[in-house]
Amino acid sequence: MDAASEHGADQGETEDQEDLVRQLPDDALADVLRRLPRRGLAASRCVRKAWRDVIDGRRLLLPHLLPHKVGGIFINFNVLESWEFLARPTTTAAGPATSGDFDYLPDLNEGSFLRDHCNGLLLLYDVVANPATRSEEYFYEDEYLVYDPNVSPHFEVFSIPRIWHKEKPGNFGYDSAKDKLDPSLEELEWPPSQYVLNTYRVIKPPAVDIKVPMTGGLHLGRSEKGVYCALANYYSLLSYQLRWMLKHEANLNSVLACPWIFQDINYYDRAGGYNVDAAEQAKFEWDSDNDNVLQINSKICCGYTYLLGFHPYKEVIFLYESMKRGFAYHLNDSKVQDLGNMYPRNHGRVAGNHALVRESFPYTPCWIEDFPINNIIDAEDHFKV
Amino acid sequence: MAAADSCDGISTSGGGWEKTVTLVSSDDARFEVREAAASLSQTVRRMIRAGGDGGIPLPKVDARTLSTVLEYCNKHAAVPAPAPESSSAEAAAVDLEWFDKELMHVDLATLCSLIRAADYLEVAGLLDLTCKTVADMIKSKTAEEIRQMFGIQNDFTPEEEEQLSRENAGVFE
Repeated sequence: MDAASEHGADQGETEDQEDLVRQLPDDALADVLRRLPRRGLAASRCVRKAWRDVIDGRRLLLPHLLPHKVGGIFINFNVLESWEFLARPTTTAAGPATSGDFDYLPDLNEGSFLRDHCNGLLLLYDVVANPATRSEEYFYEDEYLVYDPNVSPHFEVFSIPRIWHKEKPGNFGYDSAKDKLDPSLEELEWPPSQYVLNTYRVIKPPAVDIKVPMTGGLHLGRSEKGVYCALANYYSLLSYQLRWMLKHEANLNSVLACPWIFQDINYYDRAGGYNVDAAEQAKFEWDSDNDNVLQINSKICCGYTYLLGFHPYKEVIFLYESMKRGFAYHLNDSKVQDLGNMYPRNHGRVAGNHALVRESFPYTPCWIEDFPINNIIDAEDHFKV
Repeated sequence: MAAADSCDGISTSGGGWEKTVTLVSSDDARFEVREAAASLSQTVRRMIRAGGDGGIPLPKVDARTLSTVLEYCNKHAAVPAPAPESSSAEAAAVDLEWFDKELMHVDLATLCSLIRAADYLEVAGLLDLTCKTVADMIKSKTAEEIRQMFGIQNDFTPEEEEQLSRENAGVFE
């Protein structure tokens, strides 16, 4: 065969092959592409328009970018200057390790703490940051964060206006300028009846018969089947669908091995920065089904139990006990998993009797890099007088 | 021959008294297959239920592809329901895995034909196997390498390519 005809044969084969691929139905192509790891999907997006359209149209990248897993728990401790991050290191997880120390943020305020978390984004004092992709945007001074990449690539930061507690005349600290009652406001109920909430729904808390002293109060959060509300210490769980239903009640004193890693950011910051190498460049992923299951009746709980939050995708509650140890409690089968030490070094010395958890946020990583510029809204825009 | 076996497209073969069906490819090749094997295809299973004359026509699958699909079906339908943890079940599973691996030693064009056929015939196991095989071939390649592999022309403008690389920057990290 001479060179020319050989070339011709090659070309014919290529065209045939292209025909074959072109005829691959979108469903079948999607079947192939959905099996690709993240990197393979990203490369396939660039192959040709039809491939990109299949990947984008069927949102094949989204499960990789928003894996619906708990990557750890961010915790604000009372008095400490920075938050802490508790997470499980493994060597098998996909994706780079997440550090809870945002040392890459150039202008992080001293004494800043986390205000909110939503689908992988964290709202700090004046910045929204993504610890997975190490990106950030500035200029926010609001308190709440909403982000759902399934709905929109934009996140929203907003405030909910509130009426502060006012001291009664004659009480200690009464300030007539600050504490003077506004008669028109005093007559209102919450939610204020002359306001119409356009975007947000107000759920009244459940009427709970509190027979035992509560150390943590009501804890509201989202989990597998909707909105949940739990009481700390001896605790009950209520879930909200149409109305509050008591779902679970347990005495944790009767239920409570390789732990999660507490990054001790406050301590290492003082000692010259948190050393990610110390966490073995570990990849933080936790197996919510199999890791560190404690035997029921292995009594370890001997003090207060507080709620850290709800697993957003499973009926699991994160708790901590006596400011020392975190654990995960499965509502379905009462399985308890040890999360290990979560006591910040020197916290007792710094905070004394005020060594408490202020807020905590179960963190679900999001690998979506694109950080479209701001969509700040003021919730007041959503109230109509 | 018994009345139950007399309907067209379904006959009883000699030795094992197993029901067979006749499948007809796009190029009019006829394949007589055990019904148990053919029923791994949900499409064929529905057509068997519906009944018909002179074999089941499969106009979207050529003879060469159909014979490979049937090779898969015959092998997988022959495997008895595994008694878990028995050594023979384990051996059968290893054998099946080996068979699948060998079956996938074909060129890309054949693989794509098999994917189309498995998609049309709704043979879930084969669709899974072929898609996984192609995905494995793609997964560590660059876009250009994938284009070469499939003989695909790049139809993006330079501007679009620039945007794609920006969008992908985070994913490639």
